[in-house]
Order: sequence, then C-alpha cells, then structure tokens
Amino acid sequence: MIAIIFIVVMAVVIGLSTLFGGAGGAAAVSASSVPWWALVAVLVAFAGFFAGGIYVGAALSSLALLAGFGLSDRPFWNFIGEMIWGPSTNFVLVSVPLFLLMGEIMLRAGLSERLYRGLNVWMGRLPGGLLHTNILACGVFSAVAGSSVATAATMGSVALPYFEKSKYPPKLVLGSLAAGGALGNLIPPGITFIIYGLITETSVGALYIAAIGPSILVVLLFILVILYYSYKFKLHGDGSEGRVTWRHRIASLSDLLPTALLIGLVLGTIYAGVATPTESAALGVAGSLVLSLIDRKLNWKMLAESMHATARTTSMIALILFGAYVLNYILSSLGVPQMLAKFLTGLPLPGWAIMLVIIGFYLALGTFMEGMSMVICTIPLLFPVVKALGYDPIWFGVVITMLVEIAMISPPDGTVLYVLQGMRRQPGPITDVFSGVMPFMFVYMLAIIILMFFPSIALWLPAVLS
Amino acid sequence: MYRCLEWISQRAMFVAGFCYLIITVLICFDIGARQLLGFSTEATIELTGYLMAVGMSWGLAGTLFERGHVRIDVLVQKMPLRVRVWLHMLSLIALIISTGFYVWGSFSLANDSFAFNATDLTTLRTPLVIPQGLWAAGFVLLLLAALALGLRAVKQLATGQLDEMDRALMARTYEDEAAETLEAVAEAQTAMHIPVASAGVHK
Repeated sequence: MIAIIFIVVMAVVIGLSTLFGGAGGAAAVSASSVPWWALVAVLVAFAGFFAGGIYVGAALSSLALLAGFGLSDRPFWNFIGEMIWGPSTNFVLVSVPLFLLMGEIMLRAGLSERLYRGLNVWMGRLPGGLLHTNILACGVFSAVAGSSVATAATMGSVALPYFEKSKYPPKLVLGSLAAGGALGNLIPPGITFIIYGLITETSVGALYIAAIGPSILVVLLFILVILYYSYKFKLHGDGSEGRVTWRHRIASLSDLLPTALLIGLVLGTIYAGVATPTESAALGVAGSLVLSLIDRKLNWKMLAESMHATARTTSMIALILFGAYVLNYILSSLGVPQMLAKFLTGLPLPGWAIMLVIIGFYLALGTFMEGMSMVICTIPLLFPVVKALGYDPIWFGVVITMLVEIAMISPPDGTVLYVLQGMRRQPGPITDVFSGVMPFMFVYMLAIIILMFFPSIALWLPAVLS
Repeated sequence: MYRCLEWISQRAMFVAGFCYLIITVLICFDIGARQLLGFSTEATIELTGYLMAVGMSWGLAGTLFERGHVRIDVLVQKMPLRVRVWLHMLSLIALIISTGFYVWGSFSLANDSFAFNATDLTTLRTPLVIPQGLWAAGFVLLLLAALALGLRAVKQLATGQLDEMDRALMARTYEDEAAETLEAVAEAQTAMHIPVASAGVHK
C-alpha cells in the first residue's frame, strides 16, 4: 500500500514539475539518442518482470539483453565475459563472504545467548532495563552478524524467554527487538556498505567510519524512545530481581569478552588503518574460529553448515550482481544514467526536494523488495543523479543503508516483523508488532532528516581521519 | 539426471564454501607475513580473486536447487496456483536465457585467454585460462540445473502435479531463513547445556 501511494505521489510530482517549466528536463530527454518510448518500454518490462516474480538476477540480465538487442547497435555480447569477470574477482567483494562466514560461525558458537545475559546484568537497573538490553544486544550482535533478519531471529530467540513472566508490554518488547534488528547493516561492518562501495567505487573503510556517527545517533534515539515509554508505563527497573552485586557484574564480563574481542579485532584493524575491510574480515573469520575452538563448539558439522550458508548467500548476491553489471554496461553505453541525471537535475525543484523523492522511492521499494537486491538494482541508475545534485557519495551510502533498514521494519511488509511474529510464544495479532515498531521507525526516519540537515554527523569523522 | 545434478550442485556448493575458507587462510597468512616477517606475498589479492570467482559461480546451481535466488514474490504469492506455476515457468526460462549468455561470455573469455596465452601480471604468472575455465564451469552447472528443473517442471505441468512444482520453485521466504537461524541457535544452546525455556532471569 505504502509503496503504491509513494509511487503515485512521485509520478505526480515529477509529472507536474515537468509540465511547469521543466524545459531543461524535456530537452535532456529529447537531446539523447534513445527514443523516450523505448525507455518507457524497458521500464514497463522492468516492472513486469519484477511483479511476475522473475529471479531478480535473471530479470536484470534479460532486460539488458532486451535493451541491448533492441536499442544498441554495438556487439555488446562480446563483452559479457569481461563484464562479469570484473566483479567476480574484485578484492573488495571478497569481504562479503568472509563477513557472512564470520556471522554464521558466531551464530553456531552460541555467542548470542551469552551476550544477552551479560548485557542484561549491566542494563537491568535502568528504567525499561530489558528493553535497552534488546537494543544494545542487537546492536552489538549486528556488528558481527551483518544481516538484519539473522540478528532479529537470533536475538528474538534469546530474548523472548526473558520476557515471558515479566510485566513488559509485548508491543514494546517486540518493537524494540525489531528496531534492534534494523541496526544490523548500519553498524559496521555491514554488507550493504561493501556492495555500495563496490558499485560506486567509494572507499568501504570511509563508509564504515562515516557510519559511526549515525549509528550512535539511531541507538540514542531508540534509547530515548524506551525511556519515554518506561516513564509512561512506570517500568522502573526490575524490582523482582533484587540487587545485582558488583561481583555479579564483573563475572558477567566473561560473557561479553568474546564478542568484544571479535569486534575489537575486526573494527580495530579497519579503523587503525592496519588492514583493509577485506583483510579484517578474514581476521574476523579466524577470530571466530579460535573463539569457538576455545568454547569447544568447533566441529566439522558446524563448520560445514556455516560454509554452506555462506556459499548460498554469496551466490544469491552474485547472480543479482552479474545481472546488474550487464544491465549497467548496456544502459551506460546508451547514456541512460546520464540522461536520468540530467532530467532530474533539470527539474524546477531544489536539490533537497529531489533527495526527498529519492528517499520516498526507496522507502516505497523497500516494502516489497529485498534490501540487497534493491541496492544493487537502483544504485547504478541513481548514483549519477545524486552526484549531479552535489551530495556526498559517502553520505548517500549511509542514508541508503538506513533506508534499507527502515524498509525491513516498516509495516505491513517488513520482513523482520514477520520473523518476530513467528517466534512469539504467547499468541497475539501481528498488529502488536506493527504498533510496537512504529515509534522506532519514526525516530529512524527522524535520524535521516537530521542527517540531511547536519551531514557532518556522518562526514565529520572521515574528514578528520583522512 | 535431476538427482545427479542436484548431488553435483551440492558438492560444488561445498567446494564454494571451502574456497572462502582458503581465502581466509591466505589473507591471514599474508597479514601475518607482512606484520611479523616483513614481506608480502604479492599473489594473495590475485589468488583470492580467483577463489572468489570460482566460489561465486560454483555456488549458483546449489542455490537454485535450494530456492535461494531472490524473487519478488509479493504478487506471486497472491496468485492462484494455476497462474503461479506459469510464472515459475517464465522465471525459469528467463534464468535459462540469461545463464546461456553467461556460459557463452565466460567461455569465450577463457578461450581468448587460452588462445593468447594470457597470464596474470604478478609473480605467479597464472595462465588465466585456469581460473576462468573453472569459473565458466560454474555457469554450465547452473545452466544444466536450470534445464533439469525446467524439464521436471514441464513434466509436472503435463501430469498435473502443480503442487509439487510450486513447492520446488517457490522462492525461499524469510520464514525459511528465520527457521534456519533458529535451528542453528538451538543447536548451539543444547551444546552449551542451557535449556532454552529456563533461560529467564526470574530465578
């Protein structure tokens, strides 16, 4: 629903502004070599393929073939090999399977349960204690897991038993878990940043540094939401537990230590400039193997399962990437991205308004499209537009990642919400999850607006460090 | 034929997973050598690139059998079964056509490398035909897998086993992903001897 409304509104806005003095835009379209009706046909085919549920990767390459044979007179088929060999051997992309492998191993090493227990000892006394634990545990876990669905599922399975006999309203519990799950890709090292960096040729390290400020901002906003509701519902700590002694707290550190070590190893080496993101991902895999060896969790079955899951996710991304590279090659040779950039910047709208349209477009798309494929499909087309508007590529990378995350928790289609609903032990309607996540979703959007007004939240750190 | 291909794809996927493990070892060795021993094995970036390419393409077929390739199925889910099976067929055809082009492209690239004796520029001087040929083989496997799935789907369509076909081709949902994650977590917990139900704080 949201998607349809957004797309209609967007079409009306662009249509109206083209009518009223959009001469620049019209000129840009008519000046190019490709007839506009052909582009419309490609666009319709695009929508048709996606609506028909064609494999996203196959849809992209079929479109490329259609556009290539129909509109271009170059022998593009002679270059297909090179087009897909390039991304296949890219050293930056190597970090994707490595981070995935690290997350899979940590998941199977039972790290999540210990992390949650350890954090809870520290957060339990705050108003809304366990809810903060949800956000923080998700935030910390996501730093090693890198996938929002996995983060929400893991943390949900660990956290929900804690809430069974508690007085916490289920809406807030589910909402905070979903919100925490939506930190998965924003907090470094997320995989969305790697793919974005690969497509736009932006430094992944710089993206990771830029993500620090916004990550803190979003976590703080989430904590504020919880504090507000804790005072409203009078959830002043957990009296039933009694006092937590300091000895208990120190003991709990042993539960936090493995995660802390791993995060220190991965992010520390990136931020200190000792290792590239790919190298630190390899260190992360090695670290997670050592940790699970110490915990006596490392066995052949667990390792084989981790490798299997990694191979599947990587190949899933690969098929989409191949399609996107072929399509991008053909569209670029036809001059379509440049045309789109010219058209959108030629509209009689200020830059921020076009940025708002782009943000709306992503929110709409995200309600029905998987995050990674959304980024791979759209960035090649929209990136030139964003650059032409004068926005910073690194800033845009952070905003895109946040948009993908919001999409995952936006009712009624966000995947994370259904994962959590499926894990509830006390039955209840899905609308509990919807209304629980709403406040968090709004502050997430607020964070994007804050980031539009104060881009330095993201850009200050990379500028200082470079 | 179908079973055989599924088996091969499974094994190929295992090899793909192993590639990523070897990449880890290679890179870690390189970092160690650089930091501690003061030399760099200049071939690491090149070798990891080849392993990555092979891993990516060899995992494609297995992912197809496990219904792991992304499809936007919001509308497909809402269609009646009779329409849905035809949409499955259509997406398989699109996949077969695209993969056909990938097979052609990757093989002509490997063939060019062979014809011109192209080697990499680094110390190893790897003949490029080796990694590129292995990489191309992954696409062949995907093409065969898609064809096998297609043939079976046609057979199922003809004999009216629409449900079976739907199940074999339906995209993997977030429910599947969540279920697998939960299974992994549960296994980790039982190994730790922490009963899931009693993990509450209210002791």
